[in-house]
Amino acid sequence: MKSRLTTVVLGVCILVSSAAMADGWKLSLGASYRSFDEVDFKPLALSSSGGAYVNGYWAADDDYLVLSDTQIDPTGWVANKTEFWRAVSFDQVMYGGGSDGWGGEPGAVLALAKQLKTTESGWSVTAKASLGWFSSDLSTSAQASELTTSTFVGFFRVPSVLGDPGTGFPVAPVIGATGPGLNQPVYDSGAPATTTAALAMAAEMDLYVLSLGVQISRQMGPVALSLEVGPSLNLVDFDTSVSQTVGWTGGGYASSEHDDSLDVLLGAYAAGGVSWQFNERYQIGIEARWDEVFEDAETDFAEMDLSGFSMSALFGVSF
Amino acid sequence: MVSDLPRDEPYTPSGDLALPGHTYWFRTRSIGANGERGVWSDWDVYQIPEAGDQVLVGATPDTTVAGQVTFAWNWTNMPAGAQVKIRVLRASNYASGVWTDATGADDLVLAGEAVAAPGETYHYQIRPLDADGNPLNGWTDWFLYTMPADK
Repeated sequence: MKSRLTTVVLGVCILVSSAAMADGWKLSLGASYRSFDEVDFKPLALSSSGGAYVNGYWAADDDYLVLSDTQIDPTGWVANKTEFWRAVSFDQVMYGGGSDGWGGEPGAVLALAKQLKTTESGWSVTAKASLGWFSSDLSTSAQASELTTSTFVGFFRVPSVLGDPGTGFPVAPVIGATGPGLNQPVYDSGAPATTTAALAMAAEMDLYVLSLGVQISRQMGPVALSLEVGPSLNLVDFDTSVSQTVGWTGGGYASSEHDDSLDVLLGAYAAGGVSWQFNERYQIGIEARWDEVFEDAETDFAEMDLSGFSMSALFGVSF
Repeated sequence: MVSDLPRDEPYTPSGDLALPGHTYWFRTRSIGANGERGVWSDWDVYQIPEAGDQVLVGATPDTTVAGQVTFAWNWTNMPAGAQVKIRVLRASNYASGVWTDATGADDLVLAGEAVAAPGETYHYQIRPLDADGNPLNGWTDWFLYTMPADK
């Protein structure tokens, strides 16, 4: 996905550069620094493969998996009418969601401008196309306070005619086909969890901003002040992943998942700048710009507002 | 556990949570928009009365064929399309499995070590399901059958 995006962007760059070979155009290249909003990681339930609990699952009647001996009541079996029951607990760990940010990121800007009209008093109107590129990586983890653990209790059941099976039975890991029947765990005991759980998140973003704007500028000797506005197309490759680590006495596991999205999002921008023409052909300048992107980039695990403020330093060549 | 119930709408238990002749205990707690959970309420109780038209199912196991057991269903108030779920537990190692008979009007044949090892004793319990697989009643008490030993 990323290679296709890079090919498209390179193609646009070549077209822009080719057009700049004609007379009356100005090509600018520069470095930029753009602020970004925080990444909003979505709530999710940590779970082992196959179910809603971190240390096993219960799907339907005897379709279950208990991963650790620590989940099975150490006090043993209790007579209950015509059966013996033994409690078994399942931990459920929920992440309530949270935000973390990458603050600002450096990037690169390529711009092509064509002066449309000038006045004797020094005002001019220019059409301008530009391409900006920004890339970011973020790694973070859920705070302990952001993870909520509940302990649900079900009961192994055997006919009482078989007698007390004893505290040595069953031995985890135990699955439905090899163990006794297990009631659906519906009772939240409020007891302490028998597991430890941690959640790490990562986000990676490549953002390409294609802009087409109108610039009004005022030339005052070698210095020019300018304002510009216009629409933008934001190509964003947003890749997110979550990794969970679950542990208990003598065991545990780690697993991770990822989801990415490639979106083209509409936006608009406004910018103001000042430049200095230090000879007939070359100029340098700085530009402050606000980009408003009308939709968020979103994956299964996170979303983020791409709107942001940027500062650019540009070197321009006139043809 | 029933979760994510809308705040302003009543909740009506059904299926497994509203079986005739059963008593249920329940308690509630709030979950905030940010996922934060409140304190559980005290336990309360509701009771589903016995119904005269209760759906009941029994089974007669036939162990005359080596290596398999055949269950013939005995229905009371069987609805159209009803199914049967059966749990079989092997006495020697407590291993259990659950099978669903999607055609509750016919016999169910189960075969293999899990249900029909020679000389092994098994316990079973059953429950009736409607045509969509929803429980119509709770699990029965445990019953027993023993497979003939190898000759």
